[in-house]
Amino acid sequence: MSDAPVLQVDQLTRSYGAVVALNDVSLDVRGGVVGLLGPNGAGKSTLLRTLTGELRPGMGSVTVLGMTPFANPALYARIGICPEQDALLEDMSATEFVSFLLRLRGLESKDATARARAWLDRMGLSEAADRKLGGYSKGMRQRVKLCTAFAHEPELLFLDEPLTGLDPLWRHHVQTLVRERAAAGATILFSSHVLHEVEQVTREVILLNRGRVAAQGNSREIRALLDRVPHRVKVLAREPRKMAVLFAGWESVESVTVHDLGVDVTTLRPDVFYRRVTQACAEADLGIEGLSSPDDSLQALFDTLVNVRPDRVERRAAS
Amino acid sequence: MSASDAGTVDSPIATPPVTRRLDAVESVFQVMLVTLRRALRGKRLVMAGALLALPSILAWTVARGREPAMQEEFLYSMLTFYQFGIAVPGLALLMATAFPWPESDEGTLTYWFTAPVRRWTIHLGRILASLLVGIVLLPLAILALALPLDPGDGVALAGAIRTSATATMLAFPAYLGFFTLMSTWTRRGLIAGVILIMIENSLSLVTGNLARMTIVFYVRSLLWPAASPVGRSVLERAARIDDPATPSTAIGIFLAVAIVSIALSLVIVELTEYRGKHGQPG
Repeated sequence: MSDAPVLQVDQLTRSYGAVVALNDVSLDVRGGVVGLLGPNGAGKSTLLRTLTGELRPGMGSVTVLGMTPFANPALYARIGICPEQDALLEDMSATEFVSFLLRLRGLESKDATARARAWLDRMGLSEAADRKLGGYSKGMRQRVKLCTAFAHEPELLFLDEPLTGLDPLWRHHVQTLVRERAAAGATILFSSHVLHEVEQVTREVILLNRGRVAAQGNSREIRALLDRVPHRVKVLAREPRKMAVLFAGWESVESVTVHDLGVDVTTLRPDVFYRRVTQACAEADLGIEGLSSPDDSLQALFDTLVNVRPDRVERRAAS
Repeated sequence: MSASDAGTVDSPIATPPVTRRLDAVESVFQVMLVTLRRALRGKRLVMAGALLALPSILAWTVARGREPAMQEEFLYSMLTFYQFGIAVPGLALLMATAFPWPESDEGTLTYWFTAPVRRWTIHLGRILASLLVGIVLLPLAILALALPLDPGDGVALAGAIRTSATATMLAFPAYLGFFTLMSTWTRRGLIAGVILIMIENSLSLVTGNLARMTIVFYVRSLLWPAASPVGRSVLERAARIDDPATPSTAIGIFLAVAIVSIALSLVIVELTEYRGKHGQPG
């Protein structure tokens, strides 16, 4: 890791009208994978959109790879972005879409198409590659977004909730991909509202809450606090009742609620639960169509932290 | 292949990509190509098709088979009021307001504006694609309007059609530029544009200098020299073109509006933060 920060944010404040989305945020990232953690509305996406130059910093300064990011093509040549919003150019096929973005990065037509196809293949989309994106499921769209972020092998990646809508196996694959890119020297900012998702790829986290940095450092301390808060997982499944019976037999599961589209699981050991789901999916088709976690466990944690000064939390988190 | 076994030696992703920064011309060209391809699929094309097909449908169903003089009057009326007053600015409005605010609201602008090319090259590529679409579609619409009609004097009719096609092709960039400028500046470009088209059409019917502040006055003026006596009567009586502008003045106005508007819109698109509706705290 070099001494020069890859990302440097200094006293960044950003408002939307009367709402302060980011309040006096200062941080720096020097390399590796860094988790950006916080409940919905914490300011993660605003911070990422400022770092990627879509938004201007209201007050304070932001430098990315030594450059100011707003409308800066020299910076964009070196970064990859998986945005949070579920939006793609619906009238294009996945191959057209990914290869067009690669063409804008200077790849020759043939190379761009070959690389786009190879990445779509890697993301399990080879059969659907020539279909219009408008007909893609949420999970497929997420994988296309990830293709656009990774395909040019950037040195810095911004991944905003990259596991949203993915089934357990694809979550595992994407986490593997993130670790691979990091091992190859890329710096990755990985945003999520679920701590254990981040922990699968890094121990280095920045906690945002209500637009402020609540803590920055190692995730172990946060994990210890979080383990006292029940964690909810929503599982979308084709056969919810069968799924509920299966989950009810697992030690890591505290309670299971069945509804039309799937089951809601409460667990005090989300890491164990997710690992078990991934293993079970790898062994047999369980009919799981997606996993998601509402941010109430993290929100509960932040509620306990809200009266604690950030510098004290930072020391505790780093210890 | 899956995520875990990708990147084998023969795979295109086994080696790092050879990237380079595109120059402005390449960037504009790439964006133009992809926009043209997309333009042939979108719902805006269906709306544009409906807008341009209406006079032809009317010509087939209402005017065809009537007295030649009536058919001629119908043709000039449709050219003067519908084609010049609604179809040309309407098509320009539909094409100009598709970018950047709607894409910002949808969330797709991220892909355009975080590509390693200047924003203005993306914007210009899209404008040029729209220009090409309009320049092809508008003369076809005039042809489709005239084909079912038989006003008697074929030679005069051919001259009016040629002149109308030329006038629309010259005026379209001016409208496109103006609406593009508006749509880079405000996300309510489509609504504002509809209101402006209505105001313009109303102003154009006022005799005197107010009418000269509208683009449509100059488009109608271009038709004057080639118009038959019936055509001139329509222009004079209904459209109040009693003192038409000269062709060189009209072309100068079109060029000035197009160039200034497009240039300003390119500057605005470089400087503006397009936050979009998804740009909420979070």
